[in-house]
Amino acid sequence: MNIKHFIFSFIFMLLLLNTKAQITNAKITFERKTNLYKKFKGENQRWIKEEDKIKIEYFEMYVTDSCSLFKPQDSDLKENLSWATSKNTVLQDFNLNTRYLIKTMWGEELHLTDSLFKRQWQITESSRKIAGYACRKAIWQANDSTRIYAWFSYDITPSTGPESFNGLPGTILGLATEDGGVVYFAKKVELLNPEAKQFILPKKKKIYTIPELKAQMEKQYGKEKWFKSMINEQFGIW
Amino acid sequence: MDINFGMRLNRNFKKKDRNLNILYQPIYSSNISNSHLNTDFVYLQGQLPNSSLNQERKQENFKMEHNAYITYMEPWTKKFRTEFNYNFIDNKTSNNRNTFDYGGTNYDIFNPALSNNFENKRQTNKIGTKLIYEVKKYKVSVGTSYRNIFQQNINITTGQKLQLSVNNILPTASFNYRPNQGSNLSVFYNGSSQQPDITQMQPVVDNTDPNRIVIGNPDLKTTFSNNGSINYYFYKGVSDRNLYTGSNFGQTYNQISYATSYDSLGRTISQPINLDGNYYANLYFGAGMPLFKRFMKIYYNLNVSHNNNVSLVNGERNISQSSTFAPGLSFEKHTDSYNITLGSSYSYNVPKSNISIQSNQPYYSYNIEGSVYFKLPKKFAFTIDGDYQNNGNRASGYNLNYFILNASVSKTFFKTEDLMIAIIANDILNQNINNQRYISSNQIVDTKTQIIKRYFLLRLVYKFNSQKTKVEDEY
Repeated sequence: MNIKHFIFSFIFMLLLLNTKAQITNAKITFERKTNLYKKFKGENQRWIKEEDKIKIEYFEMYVTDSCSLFKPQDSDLKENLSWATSKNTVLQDFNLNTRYLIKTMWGEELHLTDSLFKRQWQITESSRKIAGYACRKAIWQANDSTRIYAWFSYDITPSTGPESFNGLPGTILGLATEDGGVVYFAKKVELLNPEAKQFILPKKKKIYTIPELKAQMEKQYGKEKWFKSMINEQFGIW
Repeated sequence: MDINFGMRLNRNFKKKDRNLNILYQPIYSSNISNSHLNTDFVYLQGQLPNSSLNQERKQENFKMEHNAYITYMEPWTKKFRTEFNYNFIDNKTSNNRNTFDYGGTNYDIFNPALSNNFENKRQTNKIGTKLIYEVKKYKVSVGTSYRNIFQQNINITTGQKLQLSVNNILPTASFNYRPNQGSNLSVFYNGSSQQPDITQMQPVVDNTDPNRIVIGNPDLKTTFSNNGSINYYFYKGVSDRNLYTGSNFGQTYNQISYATSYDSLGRTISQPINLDGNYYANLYFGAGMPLFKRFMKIYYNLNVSHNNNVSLVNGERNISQSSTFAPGLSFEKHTDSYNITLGSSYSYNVPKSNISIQSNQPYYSYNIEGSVYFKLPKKFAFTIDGDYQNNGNRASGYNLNYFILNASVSKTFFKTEDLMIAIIANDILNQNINNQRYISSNQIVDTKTQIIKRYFLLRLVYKFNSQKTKVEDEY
């Protein structure tokens, strides 16, 4: 009886040690690569030299089981081709089902709120390793012409991800557009407990809700040719 | 005949931001002109006996210039870099003027007093460096240049040679702060220097008007100016607001100005001289924003400026100042089917001269303008615009107020709207006129000029467009 007891406890210990503990708090550093030649077709390409074709930027995401904050990494160095891409700050609150978004649009910093962006995911069988974690691939049909691929980790449990992505059984560590033009990959996962003050954002006086902003822009520019694709690019995918 | 072209070499190196840029521009120009001068001088009060001039003037000008610029940028760290630059300009010109008086049958009496043949040579060597510190939101740049200008003027006829060699140190500094994509603050300073035109040092007589004689000054010195500017703007696309404001200011030491004296017969004799005391400053501001919950948009602006110029009149220091205060305001409303604009601007000018009190009369002008654009059914469009100008406080007969009214009707054809036909009426009320006021050290000149008045136009525009959809207008 003693030995059986001992063997069971031993096997139990082994199993315990083998499964990685479920992670709920982490700081994840993402690297985003944007192919500027795919983003700007035609005339605009002449402003971008061949060696600057891929623009690399860094973001940080603080994850807890109640909320997550995705923001650009601070750097005081001059940004090359700063006009070519934009960086958003997104605070997703899973308990209240809300998100707070800080984005720069047309030279102006906007503070927006909305409910969490719910997407229909299709989880596939393929998997890969990202930042040392086993991840599974999922696909989202963004619209008629494009899909977004996401790789999420079962080991990091909060159902969140970069930008406004969420809804998978784990934290998304990789994101890519179908044509590979924009790719987010986690480079480093640090297991630490983010302090509460990390999640406090400087608020602006004028806060729009996303539907409010869309309606205001529709009134002003709804008839313009570029309006639909601009709204889709700004609010429909990311 | 003029020939000029440029060649540029730009080389980027393996090390990021290391860059070499070479530009070479040769310029060649040659010009031959032949003119006749036939003038009668009539003195209504008998100050001088009446006379006349009948001359032929042949002028040959030739210029050959070489311009070369080399700029090299070397990055030291991610934030600091240095720029080295060198500028070389070699300029040779020759001016040959021959004047012949009429000798009864032909222009064959050579007039040596009004003929001259010069060869000028000018070489500039400028070497400079700049230290640049740049991070995400700030850019600071400090630099200086050393410049040498060598000028030589040879009078082929008399053999006289004039030479001048000037050395200058020219500093420059700039600061730029960019808090975000849509706003920018910049501050700029530079020192500059201008050498006198070598012909200003050469006693050359231009007799086109014997009532105005200009003589040269061989002791002219180079000028030195300090200039600064500040500018701030922001643009908020989503709120549809924008603002810009700034100031430009500067002063000059040894400004090349003119000493004018009047003789008993009213003729003027002018000579260039160096004077201190010139400065200028201006301030501008403008903004636009939506009004009444985006029902329409308002734009307002203000320009204020002050200039101080010094000259000598009959040996006395004449300070002439001019100040301007000019606000403006306009409104506009854009919708799919119509556009309306309405605006007004006002300008109040105060000239002041310590010698001539009569010049010191402020004058003003203002205008009110508006336009309406209507889209009508069946692809027709109608526009009407009007501009009322009011000029006040000028010499009697020159306080001109006029209202220009224009209108047009147009129609586009085809689904792609590639063809447009329009009938345009300009200045329907037939009032167009041009009037200006010009103030100098001791004169106020008001002018009015006849220009084209009422006329009608039929216009046809066809866009060569290979797409099946309508091409949006670019403006």
